Amino acid sequence: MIASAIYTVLFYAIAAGTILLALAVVNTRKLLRAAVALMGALSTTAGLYAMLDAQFLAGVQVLVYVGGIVVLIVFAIMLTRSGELLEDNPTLKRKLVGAVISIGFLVSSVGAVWGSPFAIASAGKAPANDALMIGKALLDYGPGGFVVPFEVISLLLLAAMLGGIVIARKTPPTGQPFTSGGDLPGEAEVYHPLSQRDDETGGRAS
Amino acid sequence: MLMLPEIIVVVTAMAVLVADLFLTERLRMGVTWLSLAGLAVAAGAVFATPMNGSMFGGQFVVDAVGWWFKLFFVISGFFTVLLSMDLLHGRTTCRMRGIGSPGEYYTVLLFTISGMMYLVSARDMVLLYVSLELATIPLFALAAWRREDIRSGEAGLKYVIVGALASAFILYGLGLIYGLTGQISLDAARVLKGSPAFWFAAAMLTAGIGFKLTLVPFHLWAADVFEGAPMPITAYLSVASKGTGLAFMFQLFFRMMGGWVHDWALMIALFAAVTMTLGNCVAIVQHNIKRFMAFSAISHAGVFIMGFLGPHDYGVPAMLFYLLAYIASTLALFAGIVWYSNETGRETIRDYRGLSRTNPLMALAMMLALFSLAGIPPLSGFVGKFFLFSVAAGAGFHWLVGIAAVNSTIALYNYLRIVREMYIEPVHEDGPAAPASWSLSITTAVLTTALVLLGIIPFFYNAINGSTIAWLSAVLPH
Repeated sequence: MIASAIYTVLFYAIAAGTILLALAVVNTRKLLRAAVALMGALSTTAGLYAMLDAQFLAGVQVLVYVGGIVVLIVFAIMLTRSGELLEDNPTLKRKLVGAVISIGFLVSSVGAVWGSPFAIASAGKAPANDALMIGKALLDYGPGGFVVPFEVISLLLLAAMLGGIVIARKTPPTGQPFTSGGDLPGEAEVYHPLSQRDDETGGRAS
Repeated sequence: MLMLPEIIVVVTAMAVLVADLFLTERLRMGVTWLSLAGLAVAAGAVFATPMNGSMFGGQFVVDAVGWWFKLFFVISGFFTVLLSMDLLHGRTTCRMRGIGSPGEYYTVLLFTISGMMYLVSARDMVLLYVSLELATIPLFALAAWRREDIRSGEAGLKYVIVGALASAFILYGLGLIYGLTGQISLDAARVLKGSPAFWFAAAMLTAGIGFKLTLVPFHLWAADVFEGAPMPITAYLSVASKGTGLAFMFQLFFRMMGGWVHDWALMIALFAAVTMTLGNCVAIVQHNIKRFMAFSAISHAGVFIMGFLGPHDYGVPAMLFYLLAYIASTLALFAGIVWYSNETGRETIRDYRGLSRTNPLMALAMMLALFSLAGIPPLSGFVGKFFLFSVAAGAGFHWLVGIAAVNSTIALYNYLRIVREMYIEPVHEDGPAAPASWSLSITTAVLTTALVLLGIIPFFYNAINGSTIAWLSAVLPH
């Protein structure tokens, strides 16, 4: 009895914390604060997972999201020196439209979920899950296994990494004749000149 | 072995990546040959695989529709490589800054093709979603490949944001359906009773498909992304990405929620009508050829989804055939656009003036492709549209066929704008473009022949029809 009461209180506390932290992420104008609030929101989500008996998932959530991704975001914020949003304050009209759309989405999704029979919820208990089982299922090539999606994800990560490197690479690879152009007639009007880039880097150089 | 085509594509991608490390600048062209050879062998492997069968205990299944989709994806990839090679290896008159890294480019391109092929073979939500991401996330990078052009960066960024939004919608929908069924199998959802959560999930999934397939009102990203992306990637987006969206819609609307597809006919018809009309009407005022092609692609999305109406057994082969005709026509047109942009750097419709005098064969090919897209008999685009219109009419949506006919007229006006510049206006004063390279010549010749033959010879439609006419009855047992 007391255990379940504590459980309920804990659930609402964590849920309220998640919502407040998520609101903080989108409402603050300081990027670093948003990142820290995001870290909090992801941690409380891990708490929700743990309360649903998905301890492995909670651990992975903390390791990957809180420990990895948010740290990466903090790095990106620090390295780009853009501590604040450059965007103007949203106008009242934009705020109103945004509020109407998000409240409408909230109402319809809560309304949809409220009265529907969820098979997993009505089963009464969480499906069994431990790290050993998850690991086996991930590499199982029989029915109910996940080896194909597992391999597809590895391809996806490789492709994303390659694309990221090519776009972020600072100097063009040597010896490619078409990366040093810009002197041909007609090119300047078709392709945007480098002036914007020069403006950005000009300050640092001088 | 059923997965052979996918394995060949992936192995080719890896081989290209490794070969790129060791090839000297003079031999860098080798990665192009490797990609072309790999895709040609993969197309052969698709032919060699049977039209039904499953692997890994049902995780990976091939059926007739998946077989055709895979063939189309490999073909579009092959011709995209042919369209890209001049630009990537710097063999163009109009040098383009910031596009390079051919090895990585082909690798990423091949990975997206493998993702599309896995998508049509998926039978559970996990593989479906993961392969959809493999087919789209690398495209964000390809759209931003012209690193020193801010428009390309803008295209990449917009595509990332919209793609993430679409993924969020799809995941929310799939998550709700998983909650309702307790199973990840796509087939499990078909027995669901209608409940508010199910309708909500269906709405989310429709929105997600709308983004991928550029249905109005989810089309807003298309024009900017098409304009900013490198030209061959614009071509690839308008054919392969559209094919992926269609395959994804097949998976969700037929396989997963097939029991309701009749109830949603009116909604699909409304989407089709709005998408066609808006795409065609906005295309009237476009001047940039890439933006024009974006709105052309949007209006064609409206035509595609007409196949989801009505007596579905006929809708499936009609959509597949139209996809084939659309791929041939669009890529043939893009071969001309890529060539003109490579040689002169010109990208507006006005710039095509007088092309028939300076480069008559290229102008003829482009005109045929434009007429096929507009749906002029006897070209393949007409035949494809005819089948789709008759599906809609058979389902009782005569008003939709009327709207579609009006739209075909508007589309014809749009496409004739380019033909008029090419054939009636005086020659561009800045001089003619250099003749097309062999790769673009071959692409144009092959695809133009294909788009004519597809319309005249019934063999191709018969082949598609014969193998897929019974597909839907097998997927949706009554």
